[in-house]
Amino acid sequence: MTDWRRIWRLTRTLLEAEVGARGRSLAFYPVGFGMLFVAVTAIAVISPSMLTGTTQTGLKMALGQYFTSVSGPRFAVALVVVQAPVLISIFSVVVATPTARSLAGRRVSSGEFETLLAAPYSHAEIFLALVVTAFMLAVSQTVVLAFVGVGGAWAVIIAAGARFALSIGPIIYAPYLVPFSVALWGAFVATVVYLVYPETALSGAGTGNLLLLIAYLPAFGLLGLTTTSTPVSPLFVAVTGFVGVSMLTGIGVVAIQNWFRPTRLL
Amino acid sequence: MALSTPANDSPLAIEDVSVSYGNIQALSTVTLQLESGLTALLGPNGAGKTTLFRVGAGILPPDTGTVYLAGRDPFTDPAAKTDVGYLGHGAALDGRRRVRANLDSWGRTYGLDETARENRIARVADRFEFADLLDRPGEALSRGQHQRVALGRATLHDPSVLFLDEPTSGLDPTTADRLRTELETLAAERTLLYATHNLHEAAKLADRIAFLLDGQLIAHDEVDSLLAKTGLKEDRRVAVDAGVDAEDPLRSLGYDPTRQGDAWVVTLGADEEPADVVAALVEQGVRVSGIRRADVDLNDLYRRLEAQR
Repeated sequence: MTDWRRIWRLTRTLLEAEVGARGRSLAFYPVGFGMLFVAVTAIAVISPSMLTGTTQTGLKMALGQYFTSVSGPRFAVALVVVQAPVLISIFSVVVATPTARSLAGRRVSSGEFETLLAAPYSHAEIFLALVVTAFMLAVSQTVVLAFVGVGGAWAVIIAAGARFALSIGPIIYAPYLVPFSVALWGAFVATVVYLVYPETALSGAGTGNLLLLIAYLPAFGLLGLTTTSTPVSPLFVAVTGFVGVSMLTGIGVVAIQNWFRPTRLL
Repeated sequence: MALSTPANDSPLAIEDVSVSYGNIQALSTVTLQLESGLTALLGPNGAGKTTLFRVGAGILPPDTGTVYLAGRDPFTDPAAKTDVGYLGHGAALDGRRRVRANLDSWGRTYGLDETARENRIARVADRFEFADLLDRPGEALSRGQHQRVALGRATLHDPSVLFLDEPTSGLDPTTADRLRTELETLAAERTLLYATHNLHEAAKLADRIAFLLDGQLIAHDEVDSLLAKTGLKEDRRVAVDAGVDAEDPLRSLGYDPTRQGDAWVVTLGADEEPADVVAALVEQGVRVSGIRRADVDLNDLYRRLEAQR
């Protein structure tokens, strides 16, 4: 029977080991990506004409879903409100994948996983701890990115003197739910892929890498929705995306933890 | 759940266990009950030793049969594995982290608090002589250093049952000797199942021998008992000091000679005397420089058991 106290104990151990092994490099990508986003926002404030016509049309349409009116650097506002959650989502799955590779794939390839299987945990508990650890690391990095990137971008926009009339204020936060569900999905799919195809972790090639595309699908699906001028409510996208991906991950976790057998990994 | 069978008293009881990988039968209805002390698991490559280790340590669930660690099934009660230490073939450390951090994580895995982890890391580092390596990254260790640290990790949580798969392989002779001494000490307090191809080492360390052949456990007993059971104890053997060219003549005389050092070891027939062998060889033109009695050892037992294939 699955014991969540044991899962949490193992998760904490794996977290501590991973943070210890990767150190500052864990913060390097979210901080770097966040600063890049701030720079893009600053460019949109200084020179909105640098954005492509398609992007401008998409952003205007999406912005209308949130605000009755916006004055000042409106494209920069639109970038932060509309595209930031999508970009953060893509980032969260991009960081969840190497984290799963480091946690699961590297352990299996090196033989360390065999030793872990001898520790006092069921196979399902080990699988769940790996997924939760990958998720927590991806979310931590996503939070750092959101803090640096979105926080910095808002600072740039406010400094530029933007004013808005909010129609439904709280929903601007709703899209930020999406990156978390996408991170969970990415952590789950990548962990499964690296447990099934551990050689992918070392070679960086093979069937496993193609399967990793499944981890990226929700994030890139969102990117498509927000850049193709589709008149879909961002709130609808955020909530259905969050609920849908969370449910899919939940079903996957239950199914896989029952299916998970270490034979193929030894 | 505790059992009311004899397996309840045994540190490790494997009952009617079978494991297959597709069409390959790795283990076939193996039953093995271990007592405290060191049991050497012997057998040719592919006999199923590693699979038996994995099943016994609660890593690989058997297709059929049951495993009990002190009366508890590790596959339904993972906490039973708290008392297991495991050193497999690929017992890799995280090369990115220092040895101390690797061991500390392992202690956390078993729920040890900080003080216990510090004390036990110091103890195993002292026991397996790697205190000077504690602050070195895992990737900077040599094969032998890595093996010593891996042994320290396997015993960090003070398990009562240890599975050690060729623990001295890759070590230099001096380190291997020190390690053998430590294994003897460990075996005095614990149950050790120890796989090796080094028969000299097994003869020196093992209280009992378990022999696997084609996935079947064909022998499990003390060496003396097995020698008696296989008839080897009654064998009269001589070592004939002769060159390699003596092999064919010995075979033509009906012997099955084995080369040991500069001598050929043969088993005498019931009515034969050592002088008869020498005379027969000299008659065939073989130069014999000496003959002496040869003791039966684990090599002979291994070959006798292997011949049952």
